[in-house]
Amino acid sequence: MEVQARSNYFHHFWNSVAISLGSTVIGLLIAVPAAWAMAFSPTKRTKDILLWMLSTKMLPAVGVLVPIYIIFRDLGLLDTRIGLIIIMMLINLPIMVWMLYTYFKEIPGEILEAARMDGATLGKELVYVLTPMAIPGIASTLLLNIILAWNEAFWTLNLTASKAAPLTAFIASYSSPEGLFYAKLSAASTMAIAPIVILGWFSQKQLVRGLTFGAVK
Amino acid sequence: MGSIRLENVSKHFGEHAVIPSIDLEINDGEFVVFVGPSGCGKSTLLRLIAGLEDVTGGRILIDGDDATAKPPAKRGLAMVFQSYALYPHMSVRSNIGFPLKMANLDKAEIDRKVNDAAAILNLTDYLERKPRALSGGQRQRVAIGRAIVRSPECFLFDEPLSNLDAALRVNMRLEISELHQQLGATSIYVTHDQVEAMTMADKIVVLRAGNIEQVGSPLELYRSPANLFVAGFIGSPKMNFIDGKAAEEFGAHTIGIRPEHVALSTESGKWMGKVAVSEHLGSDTFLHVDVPELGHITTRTDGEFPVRHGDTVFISPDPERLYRFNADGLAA
Repeated sequence: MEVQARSNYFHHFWNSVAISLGSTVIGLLIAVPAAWAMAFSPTKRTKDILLWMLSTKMLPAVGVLVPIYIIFRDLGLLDTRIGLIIIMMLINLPIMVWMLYTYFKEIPGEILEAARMDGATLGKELVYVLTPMAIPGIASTLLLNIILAWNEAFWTLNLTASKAAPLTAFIASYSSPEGLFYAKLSAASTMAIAPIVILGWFSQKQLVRGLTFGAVK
Repeated sequence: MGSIRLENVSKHFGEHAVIPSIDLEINDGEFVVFVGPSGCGKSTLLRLIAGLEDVTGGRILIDGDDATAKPPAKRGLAMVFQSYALYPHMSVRSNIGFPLKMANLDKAEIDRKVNDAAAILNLTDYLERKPRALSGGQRQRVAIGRAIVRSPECFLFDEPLSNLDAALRVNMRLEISELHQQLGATSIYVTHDQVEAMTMADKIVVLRAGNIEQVGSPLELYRSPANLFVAGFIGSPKMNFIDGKAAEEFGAHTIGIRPEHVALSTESGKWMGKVAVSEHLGSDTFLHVDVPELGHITTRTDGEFPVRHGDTVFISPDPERLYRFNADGLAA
């Protein structure tokens, strides 16, 4: 109660929900076609592009903080939900493309060829054959990204003040200025992780199946 | 109607010519088998006909119409894949009905045709199952059902039996042959198994390195192979090849003798050798005989021939059934 009274938990909670769901959905819309193209009509450079995408994850985020901060300031995106959705989507996009790519790779080419022989157009092939077969993969990508975006603290702390601040910023607000209040901090943390723990609990099976798909035949 | 004509068809993957240039005529209603060792381009040729690969040069005519640029679905062909390629998330009924659904037939019509196909293939009891709940042979039947349901001009089979165990393979071989008699549609069947080729085909096309080595009926290929490759490929066990002095005696660079055309005796004969291995199959006995001047000779005799490892036997070729080849390996 005290935690809720001190700072508006639900305000931050809805920010977190909007940012993680928004970034994941937009990310999927971009990652699914990208991974599809790379898995089913690869070019000579496909492997390089995949590695390049992954390499962006190896750069310490703080290295690009200043330029991104300036860009966000100029575009008026600081402390806005849409700004955070964009940045979360971008930092998680390589992981999404990689996960979906490896997942799509598991779908045997002959099945898609069979669909083509059976008279399916590209659209019907996507709707009736590919998507139903890829649903576990897409679902686990979705879940993992919601979790990643929910827990992300670096960009959310640096690019928000209060208006768009998600739960990570809410917890952080319990630390420095007044010293550490462990009891309140713990309560706040528990409240912050509770939603994602519940989500993870219910989707555990799906998530593990998605992540280990193909590891064992 | 289901005649197919290949004119000068070629296929290159980058610099590599998988199929340099092929001309072939397949008549309506024929059962044609493409046979050859792995990597000979037989599957590629089938995929070119199917439209799953684009030709590099030449034309493919189906029923006299140029189909070279047509997409697979517009060619009026149906294909059965080696891995069955069933849709794992659909029931058997939906799998078989899928091509009809894609053709926008109404539901009652689809149900009727699916039920007919299932009856032909003994799948009626399994229509509501998912493919993973079926055995290999049943899965293959579903794949065939998916092909026959839209009454295509021509069936394409890409090594459909190679994932099945030996007993089932023989059964399915018979079933496919029966189905062909029943439906009368043109069939093109790819295999590396010469037994399948011999037993099923009206016409065999022997391929090597993307070239046609010989085209003919199974018995034509057996009786008069055009060259050493075809001679060695058709027939089981493999034909014995002898060159050098022993061949010159018969006026050829190389002579070929089929194991079943060697007379065996324990007393007298043309060549003498020692039995290295004897394989008793019950109905037949295969003897692998080491002959000092010839090398290893395989012979086939009846199941009761009383010899064992190390015994001396005499072998004589049947002069009427001797194959002569010149220095280029062509039949002389």
